[in-house]
Amino acid sequence: MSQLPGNDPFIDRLPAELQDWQDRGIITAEQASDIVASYDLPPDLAQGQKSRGKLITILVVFGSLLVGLGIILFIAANWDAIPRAVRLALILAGIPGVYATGYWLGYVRNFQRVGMAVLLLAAVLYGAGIHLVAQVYNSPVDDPKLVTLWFLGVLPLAYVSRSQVIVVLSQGLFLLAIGYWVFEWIDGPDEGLAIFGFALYMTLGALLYGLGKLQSRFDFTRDYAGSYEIVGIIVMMGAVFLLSFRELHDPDFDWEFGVDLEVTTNLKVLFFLAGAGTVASMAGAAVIRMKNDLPLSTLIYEAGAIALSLVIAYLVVFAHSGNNALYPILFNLLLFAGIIGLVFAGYSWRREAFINLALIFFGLDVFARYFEFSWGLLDRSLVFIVAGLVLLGGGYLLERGRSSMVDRMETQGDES
Amino acid sequence: MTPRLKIAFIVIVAVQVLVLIGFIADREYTLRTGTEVVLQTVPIDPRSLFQGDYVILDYEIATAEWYIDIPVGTTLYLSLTEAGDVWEAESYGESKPPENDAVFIKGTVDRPGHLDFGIGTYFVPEGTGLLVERTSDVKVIASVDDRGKAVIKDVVLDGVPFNEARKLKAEAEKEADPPPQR
Repeated sequence: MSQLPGNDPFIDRLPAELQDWQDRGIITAEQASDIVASYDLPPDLAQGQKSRGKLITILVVFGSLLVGLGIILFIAANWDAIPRAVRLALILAGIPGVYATGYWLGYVRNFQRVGMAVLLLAAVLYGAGIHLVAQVYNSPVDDPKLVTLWFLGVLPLAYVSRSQVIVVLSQGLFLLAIGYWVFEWIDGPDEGLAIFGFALYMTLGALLYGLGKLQSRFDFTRDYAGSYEIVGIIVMMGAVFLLSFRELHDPDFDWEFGVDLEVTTNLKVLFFLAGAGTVASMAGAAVIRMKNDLPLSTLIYEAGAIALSLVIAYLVVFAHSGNNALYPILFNLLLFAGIIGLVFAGYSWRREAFINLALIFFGLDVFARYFEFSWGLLDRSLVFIVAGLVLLGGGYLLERGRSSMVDRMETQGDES
Repeated sequence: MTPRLKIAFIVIVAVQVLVLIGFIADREYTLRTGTEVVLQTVPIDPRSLFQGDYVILDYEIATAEWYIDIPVGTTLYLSLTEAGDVWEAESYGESKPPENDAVFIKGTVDRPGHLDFGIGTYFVPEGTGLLVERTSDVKVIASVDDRGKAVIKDVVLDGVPFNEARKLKAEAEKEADPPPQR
């Protein structure tokens, strides 16, 4: 019998509950559609709510970022006209004021999305405040301690406010702070900075992924596991992609390699800490699964892939021989393996995001390799024409393949 | 939000404000209690997109043969002495000078033979950076506290404080390019 909203209080509440469960990662979009279908409700009920919810989130997040940017630009442009005491008072009063507004909107008036967006604005203004105070006193604004303070302030806020967007902001700040420290500790760009930097970020990506796996084991942090995993994959695969370029490993670039690489102790410590943190997180996740009598299943394969990536990252930094043929091949193989792994993982765990990421990196890889090899061989106009045709054809094939993969996932879900 | 999370939220916001207050207090301590020193500089002028113009300042005392073999990242304390209208480096060490009345500045070796004192940036109103770049003699008035930390108080261009120099330049431009008459 067909059920319509308005006939049954449970049915009336169901669309909102479905949306909330999807937001919290309890069910996937496909499972929401299955639930809606099992009550003979209009199929767009689950998707409609989620789509509207997503649209609102996107709008308010962009709105808050634009307001934040506008405030920063306005203050920067008129800074000189404002007395120092007033500048500092604006910063000290403004930031808690925006936090209070976000709290009131989100938790008192229950406009959750707008409230979260205003809290995001407050978190951004906190970082802006730190840098503006530095500017007031003519302190260097590229001091790594400033971004580190910003990150340390935002990280606990992310978990307390239960905001995915602020979690992603904290991850971005973490990666940015590391970048600032690396530049502080590196003596100059002629010391293999690119190779070291990308290998370090490969390790940091693995760390974020491992932290995601660990957090998925606890109720309080389970909601954030997904974003840690996705961001970790993007950072890792992005670093591997950049390391796959032939020119990066070319001795004519005058990088220093291997044992000649002048890397400060701080950087070595950071590298090993990131690796140790990754191993500890994955091991922690495995131990908790075993304690709860859950099978380790794919965790073993994930751990293997992470371990292989860490070993390659360390080798390329500390034992690089300057061979410009071996390392591009190695990283291209690793990238390809990562793409295949993501497709399998996305298909097995019914995570569309993994498949989308695999397709994005596949497309980037094909694009990059094509230009890398054809630039010197073909006429430039021909390079662009062929590239365009390949992209159009590739896009068509990928979209067809992606649709059939997603359909197959849904079919398998119905059967189970 | 649960009561526990509410308290945690308030604590986090309070800590963020305290961090900012602490930052301000640290700088104000140096400005209010420090010894005023004048340092000879050599300016370079880049641009910061979100903060108007700023000038990168390098100091005569920042570069010396003394620091050539000292590893990057080492913290040094330079004892300063007044020599004419500027202060110069007299000696250096890896710990603070023992004398109570010593004036010293703390720096970190950021590249071989060069020290960073944390006062390498001076923010100027938009469009005025060239004023500093084109001046032949630039000096910085800084306050240095008993920890060796320094904060810039003013920049002096050919003997004229920066804000005064800006006003003079604006007046000179007005005289050179008067408004059109009907």
